[in-house]
Amino acid sequence: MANPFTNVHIHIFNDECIPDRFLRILAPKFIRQNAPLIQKGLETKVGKFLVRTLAWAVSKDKNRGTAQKMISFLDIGTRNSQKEVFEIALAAGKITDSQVRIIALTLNMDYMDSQPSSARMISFETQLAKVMEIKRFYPHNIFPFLGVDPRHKSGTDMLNWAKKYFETGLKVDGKTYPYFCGIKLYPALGYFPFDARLHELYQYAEAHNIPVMTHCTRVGNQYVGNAIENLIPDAPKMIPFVDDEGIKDRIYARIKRFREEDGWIKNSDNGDNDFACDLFGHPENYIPLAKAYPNLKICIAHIGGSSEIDRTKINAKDKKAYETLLKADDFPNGKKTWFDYTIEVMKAHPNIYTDISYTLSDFEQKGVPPEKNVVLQRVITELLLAKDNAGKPLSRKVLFGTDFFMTEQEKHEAELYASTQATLAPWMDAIARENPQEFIMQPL
Amino acid sequence: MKNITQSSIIEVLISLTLIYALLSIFVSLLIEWWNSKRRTRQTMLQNAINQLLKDSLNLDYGALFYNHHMIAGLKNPESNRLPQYISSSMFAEAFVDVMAAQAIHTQKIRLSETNDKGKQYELEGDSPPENVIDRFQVAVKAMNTSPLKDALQSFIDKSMVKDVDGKKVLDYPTLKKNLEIWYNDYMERVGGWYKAKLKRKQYVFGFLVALLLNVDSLHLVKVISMDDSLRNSLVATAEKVADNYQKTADSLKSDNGVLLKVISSGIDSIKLKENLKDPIIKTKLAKLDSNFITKKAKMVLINDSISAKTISQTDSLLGIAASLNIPIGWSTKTAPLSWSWKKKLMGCGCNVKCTHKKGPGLQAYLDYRNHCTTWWNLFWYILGISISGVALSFGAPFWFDMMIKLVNIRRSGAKPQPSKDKE
Repeated sequence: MANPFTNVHIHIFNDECIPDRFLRILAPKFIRQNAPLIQKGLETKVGKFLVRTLAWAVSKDKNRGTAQKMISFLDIGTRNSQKEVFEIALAAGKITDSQVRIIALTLNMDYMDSQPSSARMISFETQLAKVMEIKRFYPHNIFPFLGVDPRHKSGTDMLNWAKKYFETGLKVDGKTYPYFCGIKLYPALGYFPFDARLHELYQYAEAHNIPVMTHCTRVGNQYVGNAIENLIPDAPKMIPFVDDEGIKDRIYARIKRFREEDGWIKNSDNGDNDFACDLFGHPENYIPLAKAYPNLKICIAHIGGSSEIDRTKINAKDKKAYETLLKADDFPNGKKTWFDYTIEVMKAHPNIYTDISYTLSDFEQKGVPPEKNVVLQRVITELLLAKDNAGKPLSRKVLFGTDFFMTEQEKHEAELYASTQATLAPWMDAIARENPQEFIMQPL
Repeated sequence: MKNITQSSIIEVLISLTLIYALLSIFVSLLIEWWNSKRRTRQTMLQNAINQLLKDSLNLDYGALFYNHHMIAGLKNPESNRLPQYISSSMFAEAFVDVMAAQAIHTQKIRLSETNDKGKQYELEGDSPPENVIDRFQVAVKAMNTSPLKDALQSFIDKSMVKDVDGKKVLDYPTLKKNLEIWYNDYMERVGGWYKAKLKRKQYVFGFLVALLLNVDSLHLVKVISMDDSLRNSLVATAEKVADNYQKTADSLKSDNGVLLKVISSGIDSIKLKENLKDPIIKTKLAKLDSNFITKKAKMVLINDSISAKTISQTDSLLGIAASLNIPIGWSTKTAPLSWSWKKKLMGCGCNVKCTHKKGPGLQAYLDYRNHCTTWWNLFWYILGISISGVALSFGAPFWFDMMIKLVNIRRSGAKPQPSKDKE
């Protein structure tokens, strides 16, 4: 019998899990500047109506769809509970498979903001306790990953804390599940994945076959607070690994350049810290992990992002942004996109996976000529046909995920399932049923 | 100008208290509506419970409490409003459940083998107790040491009783009672915070109503003292209202709808019916159909019961005010809209001369006030509005009580002379 259809990448946090200025992660400047006000407004029905009307009124005709999608995204994020958010994703997944498995990625946003948040924000432990409740209600459907941040706990303290979530569980219908079955990293929140404070946790994860899901697109999070120099030392301490490629030098060189370039450090309260986020989330930052823990499964999510696969889109949309990107990109290795880097790391290291979450929202883009849509499809198909440096097919390391509810800014969840199954039909069993099970190894 | 007797002063004061009582109801209606729109009560209750149960060394149990089915079920599914009130019994039951659920999360597991069906785990150590009271104890025991843990452990210790075998066991009814007392004591404090918050709002809304309805207290005093017919009519109404208010049960005296009925009971029913025939706000809202935005705004405004009730009661209140002929409201023929500040400041400056002279009689006073654009008139107007703002912030119960006292004083004195107008 085929494994259940699995979506390896969704988020279910709601507005009680986020800091007051969370909306600064979004690109539109107006939203970033007025983030607390908009967040407050969205708490009430009248506020939602006003924000929706305002968004409609201020956006130009061609941007109105974007504004409405943004509102749809905010609408889900302001649901009463994480359970409600999860149930939306579950309903969409069940259209494809009634036994759908969904990996819910928790995020610790306690350190996202240097300013204190209102009492409404719940502690990260409380967020996790609520996710554990969802696991009790949907034991066969939800598979939570534990969000970690070295600023929260470190070393053995982090490990002992994490064990409480990996080594507790429940037995239902003869199957015993842990409450949490993986680790979630989100470096763009303000830390490096190779941070030495995570070493003990990675060792444990490797020994217990606990996978790591990370985030890897440019920017990802516009906002990392207003004290960036403190977050990014000249030479951050790394996990121990054999540096036979000079990777440490390359990473430190990137940091040096970031600190020296005029205007790259933006200690702004209104976000716009894209260069800093890029520094944290660079695909090469995972090489130390791949080398130090060869049996630790790490999924570098999003394959670098669809805009890195087809950069003509950025060029067409915003020439200035494109030129800045070319300038920022790929020091000191020459011109390489994050997509190139991700594939390179995947090919060199058998324990590195990727997923097509968020990127898949660009399949069958409305209003885009078919020949343009084909680029993404062609590139992903080539990736699925490619082989790694040992001659093994890369397709065994590609996973299906959607990145719900971030993707509500682009398409609804059910549409993403449908368009992906239409676009990658021959590969669906591999990327959505076999590979995910290989990745999470949860009881069938 | 007619000499004001002691009796007339009391009559003016009675009339004023009636007007203040009526308009204070409007203030409280608006505050109630505002609180409902801002979800003040719900939010304050939620914040208070979150604060009570927030434990930085463990979990935010308040957030988990609001997820409990019994509490989440109290939420209005349409408006998504949280409950305004949670009984102490419900609090105790839900809280015990929330804590007990944390014990379930402590079940240990261990990896037994990995096969083609994935990783296989098995339960390890003791399973959480099946009984919710036992799970509550386990959960409290498993908490990190914190002030909340100490408090809960104290409740457990105080709720222990001996069973038939002489063994100490946790007695649920006693535990529940202790938790209820804790919650009730805390809610008493929260009630105090709410009242303090309300008082601040009463000042703001008192001034707003004074401005919105153009309630100039100094003008009211002048007009009432000069217009015998108006004064007598207001006093007669106030007497009936005072009698009816005294007959009203104490528990209903804070209900705006009941208070409005008490006032309308003192007014000539035919006159009142005439003034209620064409409700102002409902009629104005009905005209708001011209475009999408206003249509939507109208839907948002009236599509909840509190807004609908506020609009209906405001219409009744304005109808009552019209029936009483109180000299309030905005008109281009009365101050301050009748003043020509533009001419005074922009054009001919101080050359705009007032043709009306101060003189005895109501008409002379009204002409001077409404048509003479002077700094003194402006000063008295601002002072009058400010006095009204402060007066309206005292709340309706204060003015009803004051009205009863004044009516009783008047009744204990000599009967007033019938007015000349009526003669």
